[in-house]
Amino acid sequence: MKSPAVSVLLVEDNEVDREGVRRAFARHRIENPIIDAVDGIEALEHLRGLAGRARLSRPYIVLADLNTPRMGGLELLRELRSDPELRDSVVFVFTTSCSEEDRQSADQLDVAGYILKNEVGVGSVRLIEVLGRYLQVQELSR
Amino acid sequence: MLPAEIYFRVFERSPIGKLVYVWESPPELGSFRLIAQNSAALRFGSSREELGQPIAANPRLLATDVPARYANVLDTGEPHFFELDWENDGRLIHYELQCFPVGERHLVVFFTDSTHKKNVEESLARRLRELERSNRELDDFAYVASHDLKSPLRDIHNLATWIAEDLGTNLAPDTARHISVLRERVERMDRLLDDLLQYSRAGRGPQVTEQVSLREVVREVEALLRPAHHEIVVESDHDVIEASRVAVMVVLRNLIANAIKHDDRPNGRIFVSLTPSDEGTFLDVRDEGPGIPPRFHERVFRLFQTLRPRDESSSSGMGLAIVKKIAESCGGRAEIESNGRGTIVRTLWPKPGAS
Repeated sequence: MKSPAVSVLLVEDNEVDREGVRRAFARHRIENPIIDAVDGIEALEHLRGLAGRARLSRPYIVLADLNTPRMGGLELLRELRSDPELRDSVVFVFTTSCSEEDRQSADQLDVAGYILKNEVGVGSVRLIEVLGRYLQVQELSR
Repeated sequence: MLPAEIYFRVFERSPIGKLVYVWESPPELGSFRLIAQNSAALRFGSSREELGQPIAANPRLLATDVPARYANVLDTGEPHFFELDWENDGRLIHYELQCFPVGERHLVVFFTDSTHKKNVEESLARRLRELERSNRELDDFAYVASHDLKSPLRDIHNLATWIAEDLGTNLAPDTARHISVLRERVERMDRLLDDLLQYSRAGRGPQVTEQVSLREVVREVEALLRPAHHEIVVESDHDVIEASRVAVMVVLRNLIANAIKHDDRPNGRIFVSLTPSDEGTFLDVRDEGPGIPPRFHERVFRLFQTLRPRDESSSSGMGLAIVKKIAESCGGRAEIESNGRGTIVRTLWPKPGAS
């Protein structure tokens, strides 16, 4: 029996960026389901099945913006890494921040990838390069 | 005039307050007796009634640490400088006092009312702090503004791209052109913000100087800019400049990019050289482009100034402003030499430690 496709928990408060991810997926025929959360708190509600939300079933990956309201990406990562049930979550960071400090903090929290949001005029090449390849590998190993 | 009279007049007429004490026995803190005071001392608040009296007769003075300082001067034989805040007729006066021994029992005190000087110093220090704070705020503002403005700009660019993608071939020619101009303007604003960010960062943080090889930095700049039709020539015997590597790098990158951008011929050469001088080292970047008329030399160093219409040039008008800010934050300066064709932009990098 085929295992279910990896779903993507997208933690992003900017709707244009959310749509950007969906468009990039569609353009590259990546059909994995995307679940939206506007910030870290909402992401945790999905992952833990809190606040009346259905608990997100595995397999999933998290694609988290660093700078979101209430709880940012790094804080979310810390929260996940200290939760025995969620500590093995695969997390990609998706951000405009090229600050070395953010990057190091993310690396220390064991992120699967650090994806810079597309610069003006560049397109979402990096997102697909990193994430698309990862999802493909997951697909093939199913 | 007899020498003694000259000495007396020097004492009496000096604009500095002068007091002479004798330490009478038993040598206690209260037993310094005032035996001479000049007219300046009276002006600065010493009173005629104190003359001939021991400090013991002035309980308020006795209660301060002044008598102990006097005693120490006579005990050690060493001159002593100190400051004193003293209330006189409801006014707080700041005194600067110098005292020194004359013989074993006599003590001379020179003093001035430096209330005004102290007030001026304090207000200067306060203004300096305010200036530093507002400069910091301005830097922070430029940084935050340029950083945060980039995000909505990226959204606008994405949306314009998607509109064009979704409409595809149904796009009317005018609309297609408008969208392409829209995106081009957004890209231009993005570059402006990048440069503003660079400007706000220029000269920030500690300036660590090192031995920087000009040829090495030029090679790096070349790799970064990849000039298609321009040759960069290092034309100097001197290769090493002692300066902040990052600062030299940013200055060269901006100047070389400028020289390429503003050249009116398809190809050309850009010359880079170092010249040591008494003031430090001059770093020159010379091009063979159209030149900058002298009347614009001052203007081009200002923020957002370009000499060509925005549509013809991708310049944000910040390159030279960045160069100037960096040179000045390193204690040097930037200047232009251009008359007719060709421009030299000269930056001075003072020897580290010399200011």
